[in-house]
Order: sequence, then C-alpha cells, then structure tokens
Amino acid sequence: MKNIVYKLLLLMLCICFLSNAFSQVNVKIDTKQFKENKDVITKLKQSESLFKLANTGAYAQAVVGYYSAYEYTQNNAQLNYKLGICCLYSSDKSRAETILKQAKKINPNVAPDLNYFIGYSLFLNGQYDEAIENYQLFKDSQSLIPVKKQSPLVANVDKRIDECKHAKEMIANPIRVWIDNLGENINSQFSDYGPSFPVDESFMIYTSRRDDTSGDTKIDPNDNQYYEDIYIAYKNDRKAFEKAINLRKLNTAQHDAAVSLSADGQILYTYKGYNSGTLLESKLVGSEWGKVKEVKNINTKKYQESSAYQSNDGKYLYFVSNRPKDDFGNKSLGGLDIFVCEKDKNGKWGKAKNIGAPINTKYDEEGIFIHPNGQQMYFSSKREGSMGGYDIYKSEKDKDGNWKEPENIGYPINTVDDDVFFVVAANPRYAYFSSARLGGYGSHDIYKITFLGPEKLMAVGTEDFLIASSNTTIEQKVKQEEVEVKTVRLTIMKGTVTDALSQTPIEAKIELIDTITNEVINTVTSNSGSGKYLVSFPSGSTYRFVVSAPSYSTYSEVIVIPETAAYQEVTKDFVLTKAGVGSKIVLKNIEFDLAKATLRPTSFPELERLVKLLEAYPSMIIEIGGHTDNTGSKAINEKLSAERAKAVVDYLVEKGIATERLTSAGYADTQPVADNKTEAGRQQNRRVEFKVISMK
Amino acid sequence: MKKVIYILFFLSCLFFKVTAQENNDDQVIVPIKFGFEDQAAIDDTTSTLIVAEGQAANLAYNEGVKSFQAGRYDAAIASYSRALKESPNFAKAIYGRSTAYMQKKQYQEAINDFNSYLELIPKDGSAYFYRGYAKYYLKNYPEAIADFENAVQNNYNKDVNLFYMSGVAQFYSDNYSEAIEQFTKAIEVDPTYVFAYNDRASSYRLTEQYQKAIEDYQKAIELNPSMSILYNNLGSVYRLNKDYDRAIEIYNSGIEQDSANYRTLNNKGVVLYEQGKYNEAVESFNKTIKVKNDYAFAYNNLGMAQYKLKNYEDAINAYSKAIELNPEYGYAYLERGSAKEMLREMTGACEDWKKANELGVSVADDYVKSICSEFIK
Repeated sequence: MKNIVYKLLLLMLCICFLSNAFSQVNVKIDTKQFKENKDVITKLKQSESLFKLANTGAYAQAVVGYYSAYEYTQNNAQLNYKLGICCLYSSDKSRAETILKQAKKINPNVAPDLNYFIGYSLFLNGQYDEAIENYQLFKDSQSLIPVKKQSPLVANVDKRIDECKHAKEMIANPIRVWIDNLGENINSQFSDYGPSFPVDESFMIYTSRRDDTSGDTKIDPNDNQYYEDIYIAYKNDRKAFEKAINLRKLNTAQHDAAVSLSADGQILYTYKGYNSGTLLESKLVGSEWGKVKEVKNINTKKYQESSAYQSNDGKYLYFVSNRPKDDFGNKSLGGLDIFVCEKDKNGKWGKAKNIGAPINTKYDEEGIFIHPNGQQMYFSSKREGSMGGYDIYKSEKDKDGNWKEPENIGYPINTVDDDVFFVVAANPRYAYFSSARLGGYGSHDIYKITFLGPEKLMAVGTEDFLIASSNTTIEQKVKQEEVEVKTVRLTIMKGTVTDALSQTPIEAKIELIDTITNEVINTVTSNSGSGKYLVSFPSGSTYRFVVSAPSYSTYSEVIVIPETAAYQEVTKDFVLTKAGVGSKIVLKNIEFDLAKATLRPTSFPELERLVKLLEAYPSMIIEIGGHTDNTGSKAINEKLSAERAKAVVDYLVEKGIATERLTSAGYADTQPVADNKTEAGRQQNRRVEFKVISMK
Repeated sequence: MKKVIYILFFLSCLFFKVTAQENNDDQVIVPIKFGFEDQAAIDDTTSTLIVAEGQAANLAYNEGVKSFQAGRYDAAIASYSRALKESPNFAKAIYGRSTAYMQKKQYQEAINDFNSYLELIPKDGSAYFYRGYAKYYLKNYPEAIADFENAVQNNYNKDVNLFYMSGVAQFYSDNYSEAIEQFTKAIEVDPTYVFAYNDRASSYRLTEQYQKAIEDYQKAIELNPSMSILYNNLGSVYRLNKDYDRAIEIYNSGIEQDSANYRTLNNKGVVLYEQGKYNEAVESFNKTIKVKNDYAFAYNNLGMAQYKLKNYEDAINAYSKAIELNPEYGYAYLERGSAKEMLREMTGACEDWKKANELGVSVADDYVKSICSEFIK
C-alpha cells in the first residue's frame, strides 16, 4: 500500500478489500492482435505498468486502458483476465464476472488463480453457490502443486468460501429496518460518508468528496475523485438537517476526514495520512473549531492510528491501530486492533491497552463506536462469520463489565462490501451509516436506519370445544414471551450556564455525581462562547450536579431523573454567581431621583437580574448597602443612603423575595471604594451594593 | 350453525325421565343419571304408613312426591315445605325438596337443603354428590370437588357422572393432571363415554402431551364419528404439534361433517397461516367470515395474514372490523398498531399499542415504552 490514507478511507469506498489478495501472476498480454491500432497499444502499455503496481488505486485506473483493448477484441484470454481483476477494484464491479468467464472460455489455464477471481466476482454478484464452486476449483487445483509454489491466495480461500455461506444465510434472514437517505442537504452525487453526532444530534459532521473541496488540484490522481473534506450540517427547529457547510477552517489541500465527535459535541477527532496514519483533534471554542492538533499520547510514527471514539463520560478514548504491542506489553491479535486509553488525573490520555478478545481477532477491526449508554460497542471486523469485507458487529457489556462475544448486526446493514463507520443514536431505535446502495444521490450516501426490532407479537384467534359437555369454547392462550429489555435508558440534559447578573455565558465544569455511589458519572464543560452544555447519563437515578467555574461560587443541585422512556431530553439552565458569603457586589446602573430615594426605571433591569439570582439561590440572605461620597452633610448622607438601600429592598420584596432574606443599611461615606478627591472616584463611591450574609 | 345438543338424563325412583335440552347460555350441562333410590324406599313406606304420629307431615310429604313425579316441582316444593313445617327434622322431606330445587335450577336453595340434610344424615354419599353437582352448576369448583370426594368416601363410587364432573371441575381449576385422573375413572366405569375421552384429550393437550391427546380424540371419533367438534379438537392438536398437513386433513373431515362450522374453518386458516401459506389463509378466513360475518377472531386472523402479505391497509381494515365486533379485543389493537407502524403511522400505532396494554396485552407496554415517547405524550 503506497498511501496509507487509502487504507482507512478507500476501504470505506469498498475498493480495497482484496488488499491482501492481489494477483501475483505475471500474465503477459500478447499485443500482436493490436498491431494495427497504435492508440490501443499505448493505452495498454499504461495499464500494464499500473497493473504491476498491484494496488487498488492502480487497478482502478488500469481499467480504462484495458477496456479500450477489450473493445477492440474480446478474444484475448490474458487481457480478459487482467481487465476482469481490475474491474473488481473499479466503481462497476459487476462487469468482472462476464469478463473473467470469457477469459476462462478462451483459455481455462490462463492463470492459476483465475477461478479464485471468478469466484470473487460471482460473490459480488450474489451468486454464492457458484462462487463456492469456483473457489473450490481453485483450491483443488492448488492442492495438486507443491506448497511452496502455491498461490498466496490459498490462505484466503477458506475464508472466502465461509463468506459466501454467511452472505447467503444472512441475506435470507434480513433484520427489520427502515433505511432512509438523509436527503440532498447532506448527500451529493459524490461520496458522502463517516457521519458523527453529538449525543443530542443537533448537528452532524461527516466527510465528503464533493466538488467544493479545499484541495489545490481538487482531484486526487490516485482514484480520480475529489479530495476529502469535512462538512457540518445543523438541524433546524423542525429537526431537519440544513444544507451542509464545508468546514474550511479544518480542511487542507489534502485529504481531511472526520472520525468522530465527543458526546457533548465539543471535540472533533480527525484523521490524516502522515506518519502511517495519525489521529488529530479540534476543540470547539465558542462557535469556532480550533486548530487541529495531534491527539497526544496516542499516535505512533511507525504505525497506523485511525478511528477514535471517546466514551460518553470522557474517561476513555478507544482507537484503532496496527501496532504490534500495547503499552502494557500485550501482543496484538493481528491486523488492526482496537485499543483503549484512560484519562489520567491531569486530563491526559494514559497508556494504551489492547482490548483483546473477544473483540479483537487476527483479522482487522475498525470503526469503533461506543453507544452513549456505555453498554454497547459497535465496530467493524473482517472476522470469521462476516459476509464479506468488513461487517459491523455489536458487543454488549456483561454484568461484570466485560465485553461479550460480538454479534454480526446482519443484512441489509451489512453487505458483501465493506461496512464501516456506524453510529447509533442516543435513542437506540436509530442509527446512521453510509452505503453505496441503489436509489441514492450517487456513490456513497449517508442513511438513517430505524431498527424495527424483531417482528411484533401477533396472536391468532382460535378456539376449540375443549369440554364436550359445554358449549363454551376455550380460546387458545397466547404465550407472551417477555422480551428482555436490557437497554440502559438515557437522559440527555442540555442547557446553558450563565452569569446570574450579567447573563453572559460561562465556561463552567459540570460534574455529574451519582448520589448513591458518590461516583462521578460524567464531567463536561460548557462552551465558552455560548455557555451551552450537553450531557447524557442513565435514567432512573438521583444525581448531584456540581457546576463550577473560576471566581464563581460552586453551584450544586440534586436532581431526580425518573426512568421513563427509552430516551428523554431535558433542558436545565444553570446560573452561577461570583457572590460567596461575605462578598460584596456593586449593583450597576442603579439610579435615583436627585437627592431622593426614588428608583429610576433605568435601575429595573439590574434589579430584575438580582431577583433572578435570589430566585436561583433560595438560601441566599443578603444585605443591601447604600453608600455616598463624602460631599454634603453627614446626617443627610446617612439618611439618604439608608433610604435608598431600603428602596431597593422594597423593590425586591415587591417582586416576591421573602423579607427575612433581606436587610438594608445606610453606610453614607464610611466605606469608600475609590478616592473622593476626583469626580470619577466620587461617582464610584455613590453606589448600592449587596453583601452575601449567608448561603447554604 | 348446528346447535350442540346436550341431553340430560333424569332417573327418578319410579320412572326414567329424559330431558332434551338445548343449551343457550354458558352453563355447563352435564349428561347425568340421577338415582334417588333412597327416596324410592321412603315413598313405598309412606304410601301405607298414614298413622297418627306425624301424620300431617307424612301426608304433605306424599303429596310432594306425587307432584315431583308429575313434574310439578313448584307444587312439590310447597308440599315438602309444609311437611317440614310440621316436622322440621324430616330428613326425607328435606332431601325431596332439595331435589325439586335442583330441577328448578334453584341451586343455592338446593345446597341449603342438602346442608341441613347432611347434618341429619352425614353418611349419605348421594347427598354429597348432589350438593357437589349444585355447586358445580354454580361454578364453585373447589367446593364441588370437595363434595365429590366426600361422596366417594361415603361409598357413592359407581356413578360415571361423579367422575366426569370431578374431571371437568378440576379442568376448570387448571388442575389438568387431577382432571386426567378423574376422566380416566369415568372411562373405567363407562368405556364408551365420548365426552370423557374428549375432555381427557383436552387435558392432555393443555399439558402438551399431544400424542396422548391425539389417541383420545381419535377414540372419541371412533365412538361417535358424526360429532364434528371432535375433528376440530383433533385437528387443533395436530396444529399445536406442528403436524400441519395432518391438521388440515382432519379439519377438512370436520368441515365435511358440518360445512358451517366456522370455528373449524377459522382453525384451518390458522394452520395455513402458520405454514406461511398466507394467500390460502386469507381465502380460508374469508370463507369463515362468509359463514359467520360477526366472528371477530376470523377478522383478526385475516388481518395477520394480510400483514404477512405486506397488505398493511387491508390488514388494518380487518383488525378494525375485529375491534368493532369486540371492542375489548386487545390483540387486535396490538396488531393493528404494528400494521400502522409498517405504514409509518407512528402516532396511530402508539395509540393502538397503548390501548392494547390497557386491555391486558402487557407486551404492548414494552413497545410503548421503547418506541413511543417521541410520538405520543
């Protein structure tokens, strides 16, 4: 493989899943037939040199030259053999079967692995029995020659035969799903794939190879497609996706692919092909995605790191790598495996650990996704039992917290092609994936899956005269087999964290603590630009929410989350205040009529905010203090400051704040906060402030 | 519909009385042979024993016996009551009046009299049997069973009806192995007792001993080949045992016996449905509906077959008809909801599932909980 980018990205596009199955046979095409047509010979020569490169991109490109020769004559076994193989890597694989069969008709011995490729072309065309026959022919013919001289494809053939059997069985027993195209706002005539979402699905980030790519040359010469770029689409009020936007800030002239989003939508993981494949991350700062940086402590120079997924609680990062050993010295199981890192006390990713069997196998594992409920893992694997290429598998945690033996999620989500990058919504009835199925906008499109589950219970109505002496019939009783509902019900809570008085957004840490186990379930940070946060956790428990931010009083609230539906969304806004016990805060824009204690209407907005603060902190007891500068009579100043403080208290009482929470005092000029010698200083000293007396 | 005719044999002391009765209610009617042998002995003596002491009571008692024999049960009850006014502990008069009440189906009054009688004559096995019989009619199966057991303990152990009714009472109490025991005793007393074979077979069926059930139903058919319900029941056991071809064959024999037997037509459709022959099932359910156009089960089943054929609109129409005929039909709601789901009418689906749950189909609650929160409040 020349360019490792393709290993991850083109595998998506189903081009390279014969990656370890290139023909090793050098079959020379007799060019005598084409002597009269020099143009064909030139093209043929180009294809021949591409074919020698023996990689997916080269094979795909070689089709053009071979095909022009094929149009000239269809009676050249060598040409048909090579064209057929290249077609298997092209966008139209279905042609391969006919062309390879033509080769066999002309010369069954044109290449020792011909039957293998015929078998594979039949497999792709859904002819499983005939495919098995051809694989078997290949296997039988190879068994007659010494092991050393056998085709390397012999090592694959039993797996291929198995895939035929599994494909046949799985297609005969499809799972019940609806598969809906996400529509023209998301999908294009080009490849659109790799969707990821924050847990509330308020937006989607994905990868597309459309014509507004940021690539300089725009088109990747390796496969004649536009370079990959990352796109974002937001959901509108009607819960429909708006037109996708190119995330120019993240995209470069080369391939840029989105890998996954953290559950709160604040971190985007991306992938670049350098250093054998590297994982990067970008953090949402305000409304802007920050500069893409390598994920620390995860990447290696020598080995590939691809798909990453951060667990919902932010404590773990799962990722895929082909490194031979993990940081604990455990050997990998083979090919690409899934690894996990735990976040340490300082918020850094710790040592990587191979998650081992039964998830990893000697075959490749890719595309890791952990459901926000933390109980199900979805990933792709080429393991035994798959129906071809990568299939999507699901594993659940057992009661001891270990991953159970994964199950193939079945057809029609899995196909004979590669099926990778599958995300399940917080409501497990829905999932998203990309597929090149018919009826889309072209190439790969992103689809929404609705799982219908097993067929709903139905009960025939039937009755018999079980007691002959009675004319009362007896109904056949219906056996209602209880379906075990194991899913953890999720609650998604979202809202904002703002300053109680200024109402400006705050970047605050929100910790979610299970009140029974005292365990921190999840920690999220609200967005610095919008104050928005998003957190999800299992329903049916009582949680303490601890909201903290530098220089603010920590806010804590216990919230009971009842176990209701499979999935629920709750909105909860938090307000923080800088006020702690003893702290004094000056109320801004409080104005009185000249020399009077009558509040001017311009004071009301600030006082309203104070009302809200007192409502948010029902245990807070405050003192309103009136202050003056040092001009004028002391007695008058004392009286005026006391009356003005009282006026504020009266206002608050009128707005429903309990009298016993409020006191007032007139301090005149005894507590200056600035120099009384300047007008500016005097203005600062003429003020109303509140002091927090107590707060639970 | 061919009415199932139940025959009630009534044997009195001096004559056999045969009552043919068409049963229109849900009441369990058991063919039974009454034997008032004790009453016969008393009757003989009372006809000659008109003596001074207790004369009035005895005279009234004799009038009661005569009225009873003539089938004038109200008069008999009046006479026995007069006798008991004269002589409250006149056991034979109490017994006589209670049997008259039995004839009038005044079972509670009969039970009251048997209670008094058994206080005076506690070892009379027949009285226990009749009291059990009355309780059986009142569907008080546990007490009926206790009385039948007392009857046997007091040497009333030759009556085939006692064992048969014990079996039925056990059957209705869901004690199938005890029911089988009792039906077996009934068959020992009368090896030609068709009902006992049928009912024992049904007990085997409900305990999933299908082979034994098949043998008993077959024996019953051998004894009475024209009784169409036997074919229906036998076919149903084959159906439950997943021997679908044989089930169809037997149902067809039943339909031959009685072409208007809509239950058998419906059951045949169910087999076709379970065989995956949905088009043929639709045909069979439509035939059922032709014979009986208010049979909710057939509409429900038609809906299921249409669902399988992906004719969801037709399925919904059929389910709606079933619901119209039986508004309490929980499963029809459940299934209509599922058909609506396939048409992506999720609000309607969820409303139907909710209703099904209210009607006791608990599985619907799982659907509501796992699917419906976003579609209904």
